[in-house]
Amino acid sequence: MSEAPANPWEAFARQSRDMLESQAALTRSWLEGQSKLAEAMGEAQKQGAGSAEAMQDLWRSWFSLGSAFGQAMPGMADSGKVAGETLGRMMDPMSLMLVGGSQVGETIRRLTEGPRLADLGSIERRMGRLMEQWLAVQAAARAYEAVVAGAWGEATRRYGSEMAELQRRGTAPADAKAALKSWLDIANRTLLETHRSPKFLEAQGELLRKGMEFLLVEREVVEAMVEPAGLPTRSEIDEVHRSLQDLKRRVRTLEKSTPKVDGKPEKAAALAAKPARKPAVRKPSARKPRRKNGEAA
Amino acid sequence: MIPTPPAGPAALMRDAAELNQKIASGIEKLARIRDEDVEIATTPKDEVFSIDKVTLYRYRPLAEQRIATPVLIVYSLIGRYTMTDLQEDRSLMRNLLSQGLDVWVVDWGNSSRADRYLTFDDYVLTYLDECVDAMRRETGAEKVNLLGICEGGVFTIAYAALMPQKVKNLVLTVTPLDFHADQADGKIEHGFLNVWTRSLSADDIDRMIEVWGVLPGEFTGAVFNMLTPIRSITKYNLDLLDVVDDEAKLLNFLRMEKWLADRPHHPGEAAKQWLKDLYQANKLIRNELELGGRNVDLKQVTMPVLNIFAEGDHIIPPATSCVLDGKIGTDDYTEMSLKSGHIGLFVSAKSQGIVSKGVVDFLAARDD
Repeated sequence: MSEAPANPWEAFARQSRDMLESQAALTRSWLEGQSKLAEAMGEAQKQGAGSAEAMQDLWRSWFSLGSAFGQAMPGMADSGKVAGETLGRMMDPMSLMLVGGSQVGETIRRLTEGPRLADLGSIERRMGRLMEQWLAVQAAARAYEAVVAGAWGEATRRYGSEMAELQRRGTAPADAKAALKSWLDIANRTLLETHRSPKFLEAQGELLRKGMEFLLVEREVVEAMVEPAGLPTRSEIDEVHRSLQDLKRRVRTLEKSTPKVDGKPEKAAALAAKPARKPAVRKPSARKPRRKNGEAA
Repeated sequence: MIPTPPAGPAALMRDAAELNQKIASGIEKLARIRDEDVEIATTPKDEVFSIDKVTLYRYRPLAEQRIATPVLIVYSLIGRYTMTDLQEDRSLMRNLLSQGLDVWVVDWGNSSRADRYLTFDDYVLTYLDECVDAMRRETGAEKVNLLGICEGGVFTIAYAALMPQKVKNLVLTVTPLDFHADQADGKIEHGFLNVWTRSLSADDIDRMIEVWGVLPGEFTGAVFNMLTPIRSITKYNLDLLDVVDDEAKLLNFLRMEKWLADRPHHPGEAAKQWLKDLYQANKLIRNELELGGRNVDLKQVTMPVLNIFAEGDHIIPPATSCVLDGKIGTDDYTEMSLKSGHIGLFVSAKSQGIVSKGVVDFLAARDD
């Protein structure tokens, strides 16, 4: 541990000054670089069409590269996939520094600092995907609603035709109640037919599918945010529940097969000690309840 | 334009006044009803055994025991067993007890996401088996009678096939057995659940369970609403208005609502088996279902079987239930049909006493 400075305020002021100066130097250097780049581009433009074309090709190649990375990005989110992880490392500027630096030091830094600026892009990509899924849910919901609205429209059309026909025959419902019953019967049948139709089942299935996909991506985003803070994720809790269930099954199997002192398995011994097969006959209030449950389920 | 029936102004005003009176009366009645007035499952019972969230209850006798072998009521995971004891005058439990049966019921409890990994194997070979053993310990009976309801019927027939030595008689009620026979009766209001489930891919079902961990009760409730689309819409206006001025009918309506609102989540992995292995792949009737690494062979169901189904069942079409003749390993097979619906079989005024009498007569004749 380093020794505390004699005058902490003076030390802080000096460090701040140094930091500002170094930032100013960095800014100066970046501005100079930009200026030189602009000059070079200007010169290239002056040198004629050939250079201009080369410049365009260069820009195009940058766009292609960016696009290729963009397409590869979703794969990076899939943990455990070697290609994704490799691509992630390839794009990670820190990996270049680690070649000549201390990997242990970087690991400690990462674990103690939590999310880095380099992770921000990852979160944005996830949020982008989430938004994409949400839009897909909205589109599926609109398609589904259109099918349902179509069914109500069809029910209304059928009811209109039916009433017109009954009136023509002089057998229209005598009162509002009868007319309402007729409408409900027609609507019910139309909806039942719609529910069984391929277009309804497909639209509802698609809505369900998109909804589930959205919720899974949402979980991925939430887990990416809470994991660095050391909070348990849904996936981890599910894993614990699975282990617990497996453990319970194993314990029960062991319990059933564990020999008692007389050498018989516990359960077998308990059943072997059973009285005659004809059970005792009960009479009302003959049995004292072991425990009341409050008379309610 | 849709034509409307002719009605004079006076008739319209009379109708409106009558409606207003009904609504006012309904509001007044609903305001007076307390929670305890709509209690369900009130028949006295005692907890005998529990394991995880599962509890085994034994009902206190209401009459001298006439049938020595105890009967275990096994409900599904989709609703709760409390429907079988809705109110005093509409209670399968009370009807069985009053005819001298020793009645037990298994309450599967309220599953949460923590129960995601429970499977049919756990329900049949662990929970149900433990309950049966607890009954055998308590009563001294070598075998028990099983009465399964809907998905609970699938549990009991699978158990009977795998553990025939512990089952004396098997009673199935509104139980789906051939999940692909839904179109047999050609009724448009029957079998939508089967059509809907087959319209999904296995991946869709896996993804639902991955996201929710369970099949949420609200979701199954919403799917059930699609089976009776207009009834689901008119229930709280037209239907409620029909009963609102009759206190007994109103309380019955509210008790049904209470039961419907108490729809538990279905554990995720078990839901996958229910939807994929049974509704989609129809493995039970094909003797392809496997539990605990063992094949559920219906020919191993060697005890007497009573199969009760409802002719108006829109959830489990009768054609999917009455398919066991020649498929099981016993000739002592009886079918009993009632003119009612899936739930009406247990709670309608018409079916009260009919189901219980059928069950008691069947078991009494086979209780030696």
